[in-house]
Amino acid sequence: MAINQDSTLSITNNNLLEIKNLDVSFIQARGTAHALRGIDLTISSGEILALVGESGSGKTVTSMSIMGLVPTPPARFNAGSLLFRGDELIGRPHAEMRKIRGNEIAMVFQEPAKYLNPSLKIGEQITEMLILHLGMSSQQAEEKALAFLDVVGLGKSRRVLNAYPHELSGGMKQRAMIAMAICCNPSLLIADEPTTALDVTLQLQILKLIRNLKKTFSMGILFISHNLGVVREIADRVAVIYAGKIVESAANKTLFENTLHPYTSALLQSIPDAEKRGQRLRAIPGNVPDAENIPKGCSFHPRCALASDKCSREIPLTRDYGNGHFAACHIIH
Amino acid sequence: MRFVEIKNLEKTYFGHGFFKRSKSAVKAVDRVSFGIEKKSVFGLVGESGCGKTSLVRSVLYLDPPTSGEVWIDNTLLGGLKSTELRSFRRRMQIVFQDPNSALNPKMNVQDSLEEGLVNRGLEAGHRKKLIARMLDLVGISPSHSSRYPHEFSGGQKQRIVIARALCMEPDFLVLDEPVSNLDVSIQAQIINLLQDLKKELNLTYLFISHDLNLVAYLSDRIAVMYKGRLVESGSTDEIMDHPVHPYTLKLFSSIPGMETTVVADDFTTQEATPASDGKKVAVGTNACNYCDSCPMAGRECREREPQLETIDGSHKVACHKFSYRDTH
Amino acid sequence: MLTQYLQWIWDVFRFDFGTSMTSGRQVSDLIMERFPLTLSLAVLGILLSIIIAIPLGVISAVRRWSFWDYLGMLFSQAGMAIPSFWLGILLLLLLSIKYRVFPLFGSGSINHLILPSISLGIARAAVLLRLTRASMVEELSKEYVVTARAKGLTERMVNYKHALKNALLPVITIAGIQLGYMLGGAIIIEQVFSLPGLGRLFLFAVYQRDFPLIQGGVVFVAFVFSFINFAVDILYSVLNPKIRIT
Repeated sequence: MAINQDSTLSITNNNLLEIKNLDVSFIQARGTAHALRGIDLTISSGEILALVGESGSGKTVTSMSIMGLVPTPPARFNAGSLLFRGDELIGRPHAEMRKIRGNEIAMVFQEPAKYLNPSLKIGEQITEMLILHLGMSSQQAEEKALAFLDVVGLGKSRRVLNAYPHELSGGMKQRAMIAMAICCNPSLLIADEPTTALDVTLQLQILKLIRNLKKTFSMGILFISHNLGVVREIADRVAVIYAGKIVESAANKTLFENTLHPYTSALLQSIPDAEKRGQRLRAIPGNVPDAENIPKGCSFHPRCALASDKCSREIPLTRDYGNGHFAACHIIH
Repeated sequence: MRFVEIKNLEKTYFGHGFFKRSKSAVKAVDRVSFGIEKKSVFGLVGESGCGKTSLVRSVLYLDPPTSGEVWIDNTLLGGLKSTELRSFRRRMQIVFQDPNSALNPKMNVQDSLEEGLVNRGLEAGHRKKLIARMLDLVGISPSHSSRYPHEFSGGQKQRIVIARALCMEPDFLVLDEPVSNLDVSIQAQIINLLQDLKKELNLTYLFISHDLNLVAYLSDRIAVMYKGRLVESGSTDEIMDHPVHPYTLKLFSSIPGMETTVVADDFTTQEATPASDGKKVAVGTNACNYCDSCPMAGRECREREPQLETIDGSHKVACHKFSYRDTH
Repeated sequence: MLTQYLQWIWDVFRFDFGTSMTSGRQVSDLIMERFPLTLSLAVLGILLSIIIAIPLGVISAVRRWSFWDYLGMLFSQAGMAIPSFWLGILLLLLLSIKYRVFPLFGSGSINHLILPSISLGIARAAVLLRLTRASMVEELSKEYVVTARAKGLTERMVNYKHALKNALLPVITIAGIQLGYMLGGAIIIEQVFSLPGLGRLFLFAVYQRDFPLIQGGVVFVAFVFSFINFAVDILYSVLNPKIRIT
């Protein structure tokens, strides 16, 4: 058990994305919100990394930072780096970032009904990217768009291509949005709660689709979610984020079967199911902290059943517990 | 008769057509019957567009049903005059999914809660006492009652919404996805609170959710709704141990994180056509509603609609083809 | 009484409003004589206001709190505050009397319509500009704009291809309604520029207690107004894929 000071030790060189000590705050009228407090994440090709956290934990800031869509100001990058294929993304000129976005790093959003333009046809929303990034003619782009509709399970349907978003069902819209995201063959896909707005029976289908994409295109996927069940279903590795810090990360199986951090285990225990019937749920007391006033020491200590004095004073360091299992907690031995 | 008794409830909406009024009618709720014992929790499971919301609106007479009967505590709601109905409504309250839109952002907590009490004709002193008691019950300090909604977190707002419903001193509470907008670490708090309140105040719950795990945890009885109809109902044990309707089975296998065998990606049958978004069914089909997506559907399913029939104890299912499997 | 009314309704359907009491001519002839002028004035006015308002409104929204935004706000404040007749008089003084660019009175050529349509259009443009800005600001805060940026589109495509199309919908509705109003005749402007339009015809009719002419005018204006609204609704359904005529 060594203190993880040299994080490159556990990292191989074919990392697609390497986030090191990323620290982002937002300067607002009512105070500074410390959204990310030094997070480390790596994603390699053909891997799904799930980032799990509650609202305000920093999930969205992480994905938007990778996309280069965090406006500065109000945001400020205090420290850290975002290496995409070994090249720094932070501070890149806008024009360069624009060529990466959609082309090499693409994103799928939570609510397809809101994140698709209501007054443009699906085909138009896909082909415009192909024309822009790959310099295709509109005819080529249309053929390619059809091919990708097929890939996401909508069939080579011109009807879908010519449909407006509101003419499609929720599941179809999400498939169309995925087709849009992958049409330029990005090497990194960010999926921000892609199934949260969908019905349960559709959810699993979309998860399967994402898993297939990983295999077929050997994409690296950053899968953002608050739902541990979904994460368990899809992820290769899982990182749990709380108040702008990664508190635990490990391979999927390790994390769920050998949970180390009290926050992760409390979350798992608080999920109701038929077996817990008649028993009281073990709820986590208190509220999710605001990014404006994060508790001193370990940010989880006010809600933690195991917290000691030390937890309220010192921020715990991230330690390696073997086999790529990291956790940041004073009380784990 | 049980505390809540729904008999053959039907709700039809008519589309806005100039000439073809009858053709664009959709049955959002179709011949639904069930009962809820006093002080029990009845869980209703279904996906978006299955008619849950229409059912709730009909049961509470917010939007009277097209036909059928709603009995609550031996009172037939359809038989009440509008003034009687208004005063009876006090006894049945609803808590919605999104606490942000349920609270008026320009009203402080005290005013939000007092509104309904003024309508009940309670005097100021009594109102204050009741509000303080209910806020205390849901775990909000009564000293915060002059604060505005934006000063509270999502979980606290939902507590306030629950307190507002409780102020009317109801005996029947409809909970429409009360935790699905809340953070994971907060959901358990609210679920525990709802269970405590039920015991403390002798409440009867109609609990609506798409989350089978949650419904199974909380409910005494469960009904599964699909396209306006109940396809399966029974005690929680019956449903959880021997689910038989193919749609219920599909719901079970869709729970992520449970290592179950799932039928292959079957979107092709379900959503291949943009026109049929699978939400509402046109009137006049004589087939089983589920037969288009059902892996077991046969000729019978397309020709005759299955009725909800008892198969064992209180376990009912509407399916021609189910096989009763003992999973134990 | 009733038969009289029914007779009148019947005549209205045949576009026969009776004869004017003062001039003795057919009311419909009088209206149709004046209508082309009012129509061209209104169309010119609305075109002008659209040409000013939409680009300025979009720039204001895209570059909020920039020089262009302040210019736009100044323009819209001024446009709404200045009465159109005063603007008309100023324009006349400046461009017709002092510099003699445009004719002072009369009608018949396009030159005669330019100054009146400017004075009419400015006030409308002020309203449309604010609306365009507000609508564009709202669209730019919508989720699909984030998607468009995440796709790596240029800011210009995000603004003009994605947001503008949605932002124009409410603007078109209001522009249509304004056109309807202007078709009823712009009484003051016609007075200032001595244009023989509908507004002056009806004003005259009211002075003279020429009831058939007043009645005919009211019915005609109402008809034109509903027709314009109908046309706007059709246009709206073409632009907004969510609304389809069934």
